[in-house]
Amino acid sequence: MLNYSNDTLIALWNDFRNGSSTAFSSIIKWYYKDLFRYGCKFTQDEHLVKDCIQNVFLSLWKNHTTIGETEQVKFYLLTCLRRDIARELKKGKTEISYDNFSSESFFDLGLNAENRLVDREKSVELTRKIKETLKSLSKRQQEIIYLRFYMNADADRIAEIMEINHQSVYNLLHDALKKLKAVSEKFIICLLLLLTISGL
Amino acid sequence: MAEMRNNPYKTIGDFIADTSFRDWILHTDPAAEVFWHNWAHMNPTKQDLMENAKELLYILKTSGKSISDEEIEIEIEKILSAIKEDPSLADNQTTITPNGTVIFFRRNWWKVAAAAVIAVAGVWGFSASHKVPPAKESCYETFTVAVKKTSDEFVNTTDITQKIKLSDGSTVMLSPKSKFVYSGNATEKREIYLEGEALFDVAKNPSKPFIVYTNDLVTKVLGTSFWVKAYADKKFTLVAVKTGKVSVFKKNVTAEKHNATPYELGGLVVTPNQMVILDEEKILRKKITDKPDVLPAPKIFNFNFDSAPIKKVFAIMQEAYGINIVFDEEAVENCTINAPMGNETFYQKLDMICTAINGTYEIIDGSVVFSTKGCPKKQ
Repeated sequence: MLNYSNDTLIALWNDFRNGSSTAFSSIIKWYYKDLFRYGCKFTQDEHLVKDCIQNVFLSLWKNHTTIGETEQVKFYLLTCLRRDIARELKKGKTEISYDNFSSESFFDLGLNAENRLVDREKSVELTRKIKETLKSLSKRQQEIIYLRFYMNADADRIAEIMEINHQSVYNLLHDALKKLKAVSEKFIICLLLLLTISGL
Repeated sequence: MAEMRNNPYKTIGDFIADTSFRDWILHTDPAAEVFWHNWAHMNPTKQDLMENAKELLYILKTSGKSISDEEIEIEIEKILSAIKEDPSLADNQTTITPNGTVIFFRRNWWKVAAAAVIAVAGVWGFSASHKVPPAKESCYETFTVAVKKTSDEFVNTTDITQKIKLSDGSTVMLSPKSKFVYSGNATEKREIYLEGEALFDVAKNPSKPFIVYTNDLVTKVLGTSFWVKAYADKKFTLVAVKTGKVSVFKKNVTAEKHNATPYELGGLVVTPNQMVILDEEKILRKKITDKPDVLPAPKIFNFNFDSAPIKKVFAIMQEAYGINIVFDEEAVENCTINAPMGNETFYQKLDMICTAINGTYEIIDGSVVFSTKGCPKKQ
Protein backbone atom coordinates (compact mmCIF):
# COMPACT_ATOMS: atom_id res chain seq x y z
CA MET A 1 0.00 0.00 0.00
CA LEU A 2 1.31 3.39 -0.94
CA ASN A 3 1.29 6.04 1.67
CA TYR A 4 1.81 9.71 1.07
CA SER A 5 1.66 12.47 3.60
CA ASN A 6 -0.34 15.59 2.93
CA ASP A 7 2.78 17.57 2.06
CA THR A 8 3.86 14.90 -0.40
CA LEU A 9 0.46 15.06 -2.06
CA ILE A 10 0.68 18.82 -2.40
CA ALA A 11 4.18 18.45 -3.83
CA LEU A 12 2.90 15.82 -6.27
CA TRP A 13 0.05 18.07 -7.28
CA ASN A 14 2.42 20.94 -7.98
CA ASP A 15 4.71 18.70 -10.03
CA PHE A 16 1.73 17.46 -11.96
CA ARG A 17 0.72 21.06 -12.73
CA ASN A 18 4.20 21.55 -14.11
CA GLY A 19 3.62 18.65 -16.48
CA SER A 20 5.21 15.71 -14.67
CA SER A 21 3.51 12.54 -15.80
CA THR A 22 5.28 10.58 -13.06
CA ALA A 23 3.54 12.77 -10.54
CA PHE A 24 0.34 12.39 -12.53
CA SER A 25 0.47 8.61 -12.43
CA SER A 26 1.19 8.71 -8.68
CA ILE A 27 -1.87 10.92 -8.24
CA ILE A 28 -4.05 8.48 -10.17
CA LYS A 29 -2.71 5.60 -8.13
CA TRP A 30 -3.36 7.40 -4.88
CA TYR A 31 -6.98 8.32 -5.57
CA TYR A 32 -8.14 5.50 -7.80
CA LYS A 33 -9.46 3.17 -5.13
CA ASP A 34 -11.58 5.80 -3.41
CA LEU A 35 -12.94 7.09 -6.71
CA PHE A 36 -13.82 3.59 -7.83
CA ARG A 37 -15.58 2.73 -4.58
CA TYR A 38 -17.51 5.97 -4.69
CA GLY A 39 -18.45 5.58 -8.35
CA CYS A 40 -19.69 2.03 -7.87
CA LYS A 41 -22.20 3.27 -5.37
CA PHE A 42 -24.16 4.90 -8.19
CA THR A 43 -24.21 2.07 -10.69
CA GLN A 44 -23.55 -1.64 -10.95
CA ASP A 45 -21.70 -1.05 -14.19
CA GLU A 46 -17.98 -1.21 -13.33
CA HIS A 47 -16.94 -0.43 -16.89
CA LEU A 48 -18.91 2.75 -16.86
CA VAL A 49 -17.26 3.76 -13.61
CA LYS A 50 -13.79 3.01 -15.00
CA ASP A 51 -14.55 4.98 -18.16
CA CYS A 52 -15.78 7.93 -16.15
CA ILE A 53 -12.67 7.85 -13.94
CA GLN A 54 -10.55 7.79 -17.09
CA ASN A 55 -12.43 10.83 -18.42
CA VAL A 56 -11.95 12.68 -15.16
CA PHE A 57 -8.19 12.10 -15.26
CA LEU A 58 -7.89 12.86 -18.97
CA SER A 59 -9.60 16.19 -18.58
CA LEU A 60 -7.49 16.83 -15.52
CA TRP A 61 -4.36 16.28 -17.62
CA LYS A 62 -5.75 18.44 -20.41
CA ASN A 63 -6.16 21.31 -18.00
CA HIS A 64 -3.02 20.82 -15.99
CA THR A 65 -1.50 24.15 -16.98
CA THR A 66 -4.56 26.13 -15.97
CA ILE A 67 -5.61 24.17 -12.94
CA GLY A 68 -5.16 25.87 -9.59
CA GLU A 69 -3.31 25.02 -6.45
CA THR A 70 -5.49 22.87 -4.32
CA GLU A 71 -5.20 21.07 -1.07
CA GLN A 72 -8.47 19.34 -1.75
CA VAL A 73 -7.57 17.23 -4.76
CA LYS A 74 -9.70 14.33 -3.63
CA PHE A 75 -12.89 16.39 -3.37
CA TYR A 76 -12.25 18.02 -6.70
CA LEU A 77 -11.96 14.57 -8.27
CA LEU A 78 -15.03 13.25 -6.47
CA THR A 79 -17.07 16.22 -7.70
CA CYS A 80 -15.95 15.65 -11.31
CA LEU A 81 -16.58 11.92 -11.13
CA ARG A 82 -20.05 12.32 -9.70
CA ARG A 83 -21.00 14.79 -12.41
CA ASP A 84 -19.58 12.51 -15.10
CA ILE A 85 -21.41 9.44 -13.90
CA ALA A 86 -24.67 11.39 -13.67
CA ARG A 87 -24.21 12.56 -17.25
CA GLU A 88 -23.44 9.07 -18.51
CA LEU A 89 -26.41 7.55 -16.73
CA LYS A 90 -28.71 10.23 -18.14
CA LYS A 91 -27.35 9.65 -21.62
CA GLY A 92 -27.60 5.89 -21.63
CA LYS A 93 -31.04 5.24 -20.32
CA THR A 94 -33.99 7.33 -21.26
CA GLU A 95 -36.79 5.20 -19.91
CA ILE A 96 -36.14 6.37 -16.38
CA SER A 97 -35.85 9.98 -15.48
CA TYR A 98 -32.43 10.77 -14.11
CA ASP A 99 -33.14 14.44 -13.69
CA ASN A 100 -33.03 14.36 -9.98
CA PHE A 101 -29.77 12.47 -9.80
CA SER A 102 -28.33 14.87 -7.31
CA SER A 103 -31.31 14.76 -5.05
CA GLU A 104 -32.30 11.11 -4.68
CA SER A 105 -32.44 7.64 -6.05
CA PHE A 106 -28.91 6.48 -6.87
CA PHE A 107 -26.43 6.35 -4.10
CA ASP A 108 -26.31 2.90 -2.55
CA LEU A 109 -23.73 2.05 0.07
CA GLY A 110 -23.76 -1.57 -1.12
CA LEU A 111 -24.39 -3.11 2.25
CA ASN A 112 -25.47 -6.55 1.12
CA ALA A 113 -22.08 -7.91 0.29
CA GLU A 114 -20.35 -9.58 3.21
CA ASN A 115 -16.88 -8.16 2.84
CA ARG A 116 -15.47 -8.70 6.24
CA LEU A 117 -14.87 -11.65 8.43
CA VAL A 118 -16.79 -11.07 11.57
CA ASP A 119 -14.98 -12.38 14.58
CA ARG A 120 -17.53 -12.41 17.33
CA GLU A 121 -21.18 -13.27 17.70
CA LYS A 122 -21.94 -9.92 19.22
CA SER A 123 -20.35 -8.33 16.22
CA VAL A 124 -22.60 -10.19 13.78
CA GLU A 125 -25.66 -8.85 15.52
CA LEU A 126 -24.17 -5.39 15.76
CA THR A 127 -23.21 -5.32 12.09
CA ARG A 128 -26.73 -6.30 11.14
CA LYS A 129 -28.27 -3.59 13.31
CA ILE A 130 -26.04 -0.86 11.98
CA LYS A 131 -26.50 -1.96 8.40
CA GLU A 132 -30.24 -1.91 8.90
CA THR A 133 -30.13 1.61 10.23
CA LEU A 134 -27.91 2.76 7.39
CA LYS A 135 -30.31 1.22 4.91
CA SER A 136 -33.22 3.00 6.57
CA LEU A 137 -31.55 6.32 5.76
CA SER A 138 -32.41 8.07 2.52
CA LYS A 139 -29.95 7.71 -0.37
CA ARG A 140 -28.88 11.27 0.13
CA GLN A 141 -28.27 10.71 3.81
CA GLN A 142 -26.24 7.58 3.05
CA GLU A 143 -24.12 9.55 0.66
CA ILE A 144 -23.62 12.36 3.16
CA ILE A 145 -22.59 9.89 5.86
CA TYR A 146 -20.18 8.28 3.42
CA LEU A 147 -18.62 11.54 2.30
CA ARG A 148 -18.46 12.99 5.79
CA PHE A 149 -17.08 10.05 7.74
CA TYR A 150 -15.30 7.96 5.16
CA MET A 151 -14.06 10.57 2.71
CA ASN A 152 -13.46 13.11 5.45
CA ALA A 153 -15.33 15.89 3.63
CA ASP A 154 -16.80 18.79 5.61
CA ALA A 155 -20.31 20.15 5.02
CA ASP A 156 -19.13 22.75 2.50
CA ARG A 157 -17.37 20.13 0.41
CA ILE A 158 -20.33 17.79 0.61
CA ALA A 159 -22.63 20.58 -0.61
CA GLU A 160 -20.30 21.15 -3.56
CA ILE A 161 -19.94 17.49 -4.46
CA MET A 162 -23.64 16.69 -4.19
CA GLU A 163 -24.77 20.00 -5.65
CA ILE A 164 -27.20 20.71 -2.86
CA ASN A 165 -27.23 23.60 -0.47
CA HIS A 166 -25.25 23.83 2.68
CA GLN A 167 -28.26 23.91 4.98
CA SER A 168 -29.70 20.69 3.51
CA VAL A 169 -26.40 18.96 4.20
CA TYR A 170 -26.58 20.01 7.83
CA ASN A 171 -30.22 19.01 8.23
CA LEU A 172 -29.81 15.64 6.55
CA LEU A 173 -26.66 14.86 8.50
CA HIS A 174 -28.23 15.88 11.78
CA ASP A 175 -31.23 13.70 11.11
CA ALA A 176 -29.07 10.73 10.07
CA LEU A 177 -26.98 10.96 13.22
CA LYS A 178 -30.13 11.08 15.31
CA LYS A 179 -31.29 7.81 13.76
CA LEU A 180 -27.93 6.22 14.39
CA LYS A 181 -28.02 7.41 17.96
CA ALA A 182 -31.42 5.87 18.51
CA VAL A 183 -30.26 2.51 17.22
CA SER A 184 -27.17 2.36 19.37
CA GLU A 185 -29.26 3.18 22.42
CA LYS A 186 -31.72 0.45 21.57
CA PHE A 187 -28.90 -1.96 20.97
CA ILE A 188 -27.26 -1.21 24.29
CA ILE A 189 -30.55 -1.70 26.11
CA CYS A 190 -30.95 -5.08 24.37
CA LEU A 191 -27.46 -6.06 25.43
CA LEU A 192 -28.11 -5.05 29.01
CA LEU A 193 -31.31 -7.07 29.02
CA LEU A 194 -29.51 -10.09 27.64
CA LEU A 195 -26.80 -9.78 30.24
CA THR A 196 -29.34 -9.45 33.02
CA ILE A 197 -31.28 -12.48 31.84
CA SER A 198 -28.20 -14.65 31.39
CA GLY A 199 -26.96 -13.50 34.77
CA LEU A 200 -30.00 -14.88 36.57
CA MET B 1 -6.62 15.91 19.92
CA ALA B 2 -7.78 19.00 21.77
CA GLU B 3 -11.39 18.34 20.86
CA MET B 4 -11.41 15.20 22.97
CA ARG B 5 -11.17 16.77 26.35
CA ASN B 6 -14.49 18.53 26.18
CA ASN B 7 -16.33 15.82 24.32
CA PRO B 8 -18.54 13.65 26.51
CA TYR B 9 -18.84 10.95 23.79
CA LYS B 10 -22.50 10.21 24.28
CA THR B 11 -23.41 9.02 20.80
CA ILE B 12 -21.97 7.14 17.84
CA GLY B 13 -21.78 10.49 16.11
CA ASP B 14 -19.47 11.89 18.78
CA PHE B 15 -16.98 9.13 18.05
CA ILE B 16 -17.13 9.06 14.28
CA ALA B 17 -16.92 12.85 14.09
CA ASP B 18 -13.57 12.63 15.87
CA THR B 19 -10.71 12.75 13.36
CA SER B 20 -8.36 10.80 15.59
CA PHE B 21 -10.96 8.06 16.08
CA ARG B 22 -11.33 7.78 12.31
CA ASP B 23 -7.55 7.78 11.87
CA TRP B 24 -7.41 4.80 14.16
CA ILE B 25 -10.13 2.75 12.47
CA LEU B 26 -9.76 3.78 8.85
CA HIS B 27 -6.00 4.35 8.68
CA THR B 28 -4.76 2.27 11.64
CA ASP B 29 -2.72 5.16 13.00
CA PRO B 30 -0.60 3.70 15.85
CA ALA B 31 -0.59 6.92 17.90
CA ALA B 32 -4.39 7.08 17.71
CA GLU B 33 -4.55 3.39 18.58
CA VAL B 34 -2.55 3.94 21.74
CA PHE B 35 -4.72 6.88 22.68
CA TRP B 36 -8.02 5.06 22.14
CA HIS B 37 -6.91 1.90 23.92
CA ASN B 38 -6.05 3.97 26.94
CA TRP B 39 -9.25 5.92 26.60
CA ALA B 40 -11.36 2.76 26.43
CA HIS B 41 -9.59 1.48 29.51
CA MET B 42 -10.42 4.64 31.42
CA ASN B 43 -14.02 4.76 30.17
CA PRO B 44 -15.34 1.21 30.47
CA THR B 45 -18.98 2.34 30.36
CA LYS B 46 -18.45 3.77 26.87
CA GLN B 47 -17.17 0.52 25.43
CA ASP B 48 -20.40 -0.60 23.73
CA LEU B 49 -20.91 2.77 22.18
CA MET B 50 -17.36 2.76 20.93
CA GLU B 51 -17.83 -0.71 19.44
CA ASN B 52 -20.87 0.59 17.55
CA ALA B 53 -18.92 3.52 16.18
CA LYS B 54 -16.03 1.23 15.18
CA GLU B 55 -18.43 -1.11 13.43
CA LEU B 56 -20.08 1.73 11.54
CA LEU B 57 -16.73 2.92 10.22
CA TYR B 58 -15.73 -0.63 9.24
CA ILE B 59 -18.98 -0.94 7.32
CA LEU B 60 -18.35 2.32 5.49
CA LYS B 61 -14.81 1.23 4.74
CA THR B 62 -15.66 -2.20 3.38
CA SER B 63 -19.07 -1.68 1.83
CA GLY B 64 -19.58 -1.97 -1.90
CA LYS B 65 -17.21 -2.92 -4.68
CA SER B 66 -13.46 -2.68 -4.50
CA ILE B 67 -10.70 -2.86 -7.07
CA SER B 68 -7.36 -4.65 -6.95
CA ASP B 69 -3.98 -2.93 -7.28
CA GLU B 70 -3.31 -4.89 -10.48
CA GLU B 71 -6.51 -3.61 -12.06
CA ILE B 72 -5.61 -0.07 -11.04
CA GLU B 73 -2.21 -0.46 -12.75
CA ILE B 74 -4.00 -1.51 -15.93
CA GLU B 75 -6.29 1.53 -15.74
CA ILE B 76 -3.31 3.84 -15.19
CA GLU B 77 -1.62 2.36 -18.26
CA LYS B 78 -4.80 3.02 -20.25
CA ILE B 79 -4.97 6.63 -19.13
CA LEU B 80 -1.28 7.26 -19.85
CA SER B 81 -1.47 5.68 -23.29
CA ALA B 82 -4.60 7.67 -24.09
CA ILE B 83 -2.61 10.81 -23.32
CA LYS B 84 0.26 9.63 -25.49
CA GLU B 85 -1.97 8.83 -28.47
CA ASP B 86 -3.98 12.02 -28.41
CA PRO B 87 -1.86 14.87 -29.81
CA SER B 88 -4.09 17.46 -28.19
CA LEU B 89 -3.31 15.89 -24.83
CA ALA B 90 0.39 15.31 -25.29
CA ASP B 91 2.58 17.78 -23.54
CA ASN B 92 5.54 18.98 -25.52
CA GLN B 93 7.66 19.13 -22.43
CA THR B 94 7.26 15.52 -21.49
CA THR B 95 7.92 12.40 -23.49
CA ILE B 96 6.69 9.06 -22.38
CA THR B 97 9.01 6.33 -23.58
CA PRO B 98 7.66 2.89 -24.48
CA ASN B 99 8.73 1.26 -21.27
CA GLY B 100 6.83 3.79 -19.25
CA THR B 101 9.68 5.86 -17.91
CA VAL B 102 9.56 9.57 -18.28
CA ILE B 103 12.14 11.92 -19.67
CA PHE B 104 11.92 15.52 -18.65
CA PHE B 105 13.09 18.58 -20.44
CA ARG B 106 12.78 21.19 -17.85
CA ARG B 107 14.94 23.79 -16.29
CA ASN B 108 14.01 23.29 -12.68
CA TRP B 109 15.80 19.97 -12.52
CA TRP B 110 15.57 19.77 -8.76
CA LYS B 111 11.85 19.17 -9.06
CA VAL B 112 12.59 16.17 -11.22
CA ALA B 113 14.82 14.91 -8.47
CA ALA B 114 12.00 15.33 -5.99
CA ALA B 115 9.62 13.39 -8.20
CA ALA B 116 12.16 10.61 -8.54
CA VAL B 117 12.48 10.29 -4.80
CA ILE B 118 8.72 9.99 -4.50
CA ALA B 119 8.57 7.33 -7.18
CA VAL B 120 11.22 5.33 -5.38
CA ALA B 121 9.28 5.65 -2.16
CA GLY B 122 6.28 4.30 -3.99
CA VAL B 123 7.83 0.98 -4.87
CA TRP B 124 9.81 0.68 -1.71
CA GLY B 125 7.10 -1.23 0.13
CA PHE B 126 7.15 -3.98 -2.48
CA SER B 127 10.85 -4.33 -2.94
CA ALA B 128 11.79 -3.90 0.70
CA SER B 129 12.88 -7.50 1.05
CA HIS B 130 15.37 -7.16 -1.78
CA LYS B 131 16.77 -3.92 -0.56
CA VAL B 132 20.49 -3.82 0.08
CA PRO B 133 21.21 -2.59 3.61
CA PRO B 134 22.00 1.11 3.44
CA ALA B 135 25.50 2.34 3.91
CA LYS B 136 26.05 2.70 7.61
CA GLU B 137 28.14 5.85 7.57
CA SER B 138 27.03 9.32 8.40
CA CYS B 139 23.50 8.95 9.91
CA TYR B 140 24.66 9.57 13.44
CA GLU B 141 27.02 12.31 12.31
CA THR B 142 24.37 13.99 10.17
CA PHE B 143 22.02 14.17 13.10
CA THR B 144 24.74 15.42 15.43
CA VAL B 145 25.54 18.25 13.05
CA ALA B 146 21.88 19.04 12.46
CA VAL B 147 21.01 19.49 16.12
CA LYS B 148 24.37 20.64 17.41
CA LYS B 149 23.30 23.97 18.82
CA THR B 150 20.68 22.59 21.18
CA SER B 151 21.97 19.12 21.90
CA ASP B 152 24.16 17.12 24.23
CA GLU B 153 26.22 14.13 23.22
CA PHE B 154 26.88 11.20 25.54
CA VAL B 155 29.44 8.54 24.74
CA ASN B 156 30.08 5.50 26.92
CA THR B 157 33.74 4.60 26.57
CA THR B 158 33.81 2.53 29.77
CA ASP B 159 33.19 -1.20 30.14
CA ILE B 160 30.05 -0.84 32.23
CA THR B 161 26.56 0.50 31.61
CA GLN B 162 26.26 4.18 32.45
CA LYS B 163 23.17 5.79 33.93
CA ILE B 164 22.47 9.17 32.42
CA LYS B 165 19.80 11.55 33.63
CA LEU B 166 18.40 13.80 30.93
CA SER B 167 17.20 17.34 31.55
CA ASP B 168 13.54 16.30 31.11
CA GLY B 169 13.77 13.75 33.95
CA SER B 170 14.11 10.67 31.75
CA THR B 171 16.95 8.25 32.40
CA VAL B 172 19.04 6.36 29.91
CA MET B 173 21.05 3.24 30.80
CA LEU B 174 23.70 3.44 28.14
CA SER B 175 25.58 0.22 27.36
CA PRO B 176 29.33 0.12 26.69
CA LYS B 177 30.48 1.18 23.22
CA SER B 178 27.27 3.10 22.72
CA LYS B 179 26.54 6.76 22.21
CA PHE B 180 23.63 9.08 21.70
CA VAL B 181 22.79 12.66 20.96
CA TYR B 182 19.92 14.27 22.81
CA SER B 183 18.16 17.37 21.70
CA GLY B 184 15.31 18.26 23.97
CA ASN B 185 16.28 21.47 25.63
CA ALA B 186 14.93 23.91 23.12
CA THR B 187 12.88 22.07 20.55
CA GLU B 188 9.26 21.04 20.94
CA LYS B 189 10.23 17.41 20.57
CA ARG B 190 12.63 15.32 22.63
CA GLU B 191 14.78 13.57 20.08
CA ILE B 192 17.54 11.07 20.53
CA TYR B 193 19.80 9.59 17.95
CA LEU B 194 21.25 6.34 19.22
CA GLU B 195 24.07 4.14 18.07
CA GLY B 196 24.47 1.01 20.18
CA GLU B 197 22.29 -0.17 23.01
CA ALA B 198 20.32 1.61 25.72
CA LEU B 199 17.38 1.24 28.09
CA PHE B 200 15.17 4.30 28.20
CA ASP B 201 12.95 5.23 31.11
CA VAL B 202 10.97 8.10 29.76
CA ALA B 203 9.41 10.87 31.83
CA LYS B 204 5.82 11.44 30.78
CA ASN B 205 5.20 14.63 28.88
CA PRO B 206 2.50 14.29 26.24
CA SER B 207 3.12 17.75 24.82
CA LYS B 208 6.73 16.90 24.06
CA PRO B 209 6.94 13.52 22.33
CA PHE B 210 10.03 11.44 22.97
CA ILE B 211 11.47 9.96 19.80
CA VAL B 212 14.44 7.63 19.42
CA TYR B 213 16.07 7.35 16.03
CA THR B 214 18.49 4.67 14.98
CA ASN B 215 19.89 4.12 11.53
CA ASP B 216 16.74 2.47 10.28
CA LEU B 217 14.04 2.62 12.95
CA VAL B 218 12.08 5.33 14.66
CA THR B 219 10.47 4.69 18.04
CA LYS B 220 7.89 7.09 19.39
CA VAL B 221 7.06 6.98 23.05
CA LEU B 222 4.27 8.04 25.32
CA GLY B 223 5.92 7.66 28.71
CA THR B 224 7.38 4.22 29.21
CA SER B 225 10.54 2.22 29.49
CA PHE B 226 11.96 0.33 26.58
CA TRP B 227 15.13 -1.09 25.18
CA VAL B 228 16.78 -0.24 21.90
CA LYS B 229 19.66 -2.16 20.36
CA ALA B 230 21.18 -0.72 17.21
CA TYR B 231 24.91 -1.17 16.79
CA ALA B 232 26.44 0.24 13.64
CA ASP B 233 28.22 -3.03 12.88
CA LYS B 234 25.24 -5.28 13.61
CA LYS B 235 22.73 -6.05 10.93
CA PHE B 236 19.59 -5.92 13.02
CA THR B 237 17.86 -3.37 15.23
CA LEU B 238 15.75 -4.28 18.22
CA VAL B 239 13.21 -2.40 20.32
CA ALA B 240 11.81 -4.16 23.40
CA VAL B 241 9.16 -2.66 25.65
CA LYS B 242 9.16 -3.06 29.44
CA THR B 243 6.24 -0.83 30.39
CA GLY B 244 3.87 1.49 28.57
CA LYS B 245 3.39 1.57 24.84
CA VAL B 246 5.50 2.73 21.95
CA SER B 247 5.04 2.85 18.22
CA VAL B 248 7.88 1.77 15.97
CA PHE B 249 8.28 2.46 12.30
CA LYS B 250 10.93 2.18 9.64
CA LYS B 251 12.90 5.26 8.89
CA ASN B 252 12.42 6.51 5.42
CA VAL B 253 14.18 9.43 3.85
CA THR B 254 11.18 10.66 1.88
CA ALA B 255 8.87 10.40 4.82
CA GLU B 256 11.25 12.32 7.00
CA LYS B 257 11.35 15.03 4.39
CA HIS B 258 7.62 15.35 4.24
CA ASN B 259 6.88 14.95 7.95
CA ALA B 260 4.86 11.81 7.50
CA THR B 261 3.14 10.42 10.56
CA PRO B 262 3.96 6.90 11.79
CA TYR B 263 0.93 5.14 10.37
CA GLU B 264 1.81 6.30 6.91
CA LEU B 265 4.94 4.21 7.17
CA GLY B 266 3.20 1.10 8.40
CA GLY B 267 4.18 1.49 12.04
CA LEU B 268 3.69 -1.17 14.70
CA VAL B 269 2.40 -0.65 18.20
CA VAL B 270 4.56 -2.42 20.73
CA THR B 271 3.26 -3.24 24.19
CA PRO B 272 5.05 -4.55 27.29
CA ASN B 273 6.91 -7.83 26.88
CA GLN B 274 6.78 -7.47 23.12
CA MET B 275 9.65 -6.48 20.93
CA VAL B 276 10.18 -5.45 17.37
CA ILE B 277 13.12 -6.57 15.29
CA LEU B 278 14.20 -5.09 12.03
CA ASP B 279 16.13 -7.94 10.47
CA GLU B 280 18.81 -8.12 7.79
CA GLU B 281 16.18 -8.10 5.10
CA LYS B 282 14.77 -4.90 6.60
CA ILE B 283 11.52 -6.58 7.55
CA LEU B 284 9.89 -5.39 10.76
CA ARG B 285 8.69 -8.28 12.93
CA LYS B 286 6.84 -8.28 16.21
CA LYS B 287 7.80 -10.90 18.76
CA ILE B 288 7.56 -11.65 22.44
CA THR B 289 10.64 -10.72 24.47
CA ASP B 290 12.95 -13.52 25.60
CA LYS B 291 12.11 -13.09 29.27
CA PRO B 292 8.72 -11.51 29.75
CA ASP B 293 8.26 -9.92 33.18
CA VAL B 294 5.10 -9.72 35.22
CA LEU B 295 3.77 -6.22 34.68
CA PRO B 296 3.97 -3.83 37.58
CA ALA B 297 0.36 -3.68 38.69
CA PRO B 298 -1.55 -2.64 41.78
CA LYS B 299 -2.77 -6.20 42.04
CA ILE B 300 -0.85 -9.32 43.07
CA PHE B 301 -1.44 -12.18 40.70
CA ASN B 302 -2.16 -15.57 42.10
CA PHE B 303 -0.76 -18.34 39.95
CA ASN B 304 -1.65 -21.05 42.42
CA PHE B 305 -4.22 -22.82 40.32
CA ASP B 306 -6.49 -25.39 41.90
CA SER B 307 -8.90 -27.08 39.46
CA ALA B 308 -8.94 -23.80 37.60
CA PRO B 309 -10.62 -23.73 34.19
CA ILE B 310 -7.98 -23.07 31.56
CA LYS B 311 -9.91 -20.05 30.33
CA LYS B 312 -9.41 -18.40 33.70
CA VAL B 313 -5.74 -19.38 33.78
CA PHE B 314 -5.13 -17.76 30.42
CA ALA B 315 -7.05 -14.68 31.49
CA ILE B 316 -4.75 -14.29 34.51
CA MET B 317 -1.63 -14.92 32.43
CA GLN B 318 -2.80 -12.42 29.88
CA GLU B 319 -3.43 -9.76 32.49
CA ALA B 320 -0.24 -10.43 34.41
CA TYR B 321 2.11 -10.34 31.43
CA GLY B 322 0.09 -8.18 29.08
CA ILE B 323 0.61 -10.77 26.36
CA ASN B 324 -2.32 -11.74 24.22
CA ILE B 325 -3.17 -15.45 24.34
CA VAL B 326 -5.33 -16.75 21.53
CA PHE B 327 -7.17 -20.04 21.97
CA ASP B 328 -10.29 -21.87 20.93
CA GLU B 329 -12.78 -21.58 23.76
CA GLU B 330 -14.68 -24.65 22.70
CA ALA B 331 -11.59 -26.84 22.54
CA VAL B 332 -10.53 -25.98 26.08
CA GLU B 333 -14.00 -26.16 27.49
CA ASN B 334 -13.41 -29.10 29.85
CA CYS B 335 -9.79 -28.32 30.60
CA THR B 336 -8.82 -27.48 34.14
CA ILE B 337 -5.44 -27.48 35.79
CA ASN B 338 -3.98 -28.04 39.23
CA ALA B 339 -0.66 -26.26 39.38
CA PRO B 340 0.83 -24.28 42.20
CA MET B 341 2.78 -21.86 40.02
CA GLY B 342 4.60 -18.82 41.26
CA ASN B 343 7.94 -17.44 40.19
CA GLU B 344 8.41 -19.52 37.07
CA THR B 345 9.06 -17.56 33.91
CA PHE B 346 6.30 -16.91 31.44
CA TYR B 347 7.51 -19.66 29.14
CA GLN B 348 7.94 -22.16 31.99
CA LYS B 349 4.37 -21.50 33.01
CA LEU B 350 3.22 -21.97 29.42
CA ASP B 351 5.08 -25.29 29.25
CA MET B 352 3.48 -26.46 32.48
CA ILE B 353 0.06 -25.65 31.12
CA CYS B 354 0.85 -27.46 27.89
CA THR B 355 1.96 -30.57 29.74
CA ALA B 356 -1.09 -30.51 32.00
CA ILE B 357 -3.63 -30.38 29.21
CA ASN B 358 -1.69 -31.86 26.32
CA GLY B 359 -1.47 -28.67 24.32
CA THR B 360 1.03 -26.82 22.14
CA TYR B 361 1.62 -23.19 21.35
CA GLU B 362 3.16 -20.99 18.71
CA ILE B 363 4.21 -17.37 18.88
CA ILE B 364 2.61 -15.45 16.04
CA ASP B 365 2.89 -11.70 15.62
CA GLY B 366 3.60 -11.07 19.28
CA SER B 367 0.75 -13.25 20.55
CA VAL B 368 0.67 -16.77 21.95
CA VAL B 369 -1.53 -19.01 19.84
CA PHE B 370 -2.51 -22.02 21.91
CA SER B 371 -3.97 -25.24 20.60
CA THR B 372 -5.11 -28.49 22.16
CA LYS B 373 -7.23 -31.40 21.11
CA GLY B 374 -9.36 -30.90 24.17
CA CYS B 375 -9.81 -32.57 27.50
CA PRO B 376 -12.09 -35.41 28.57
CA LYS B 377 -15.29 -34.39 30.27
CA LYS B 378 -15.16 -34.81 34.02
CA GLN B 379 -18.06 -36.41 35.80
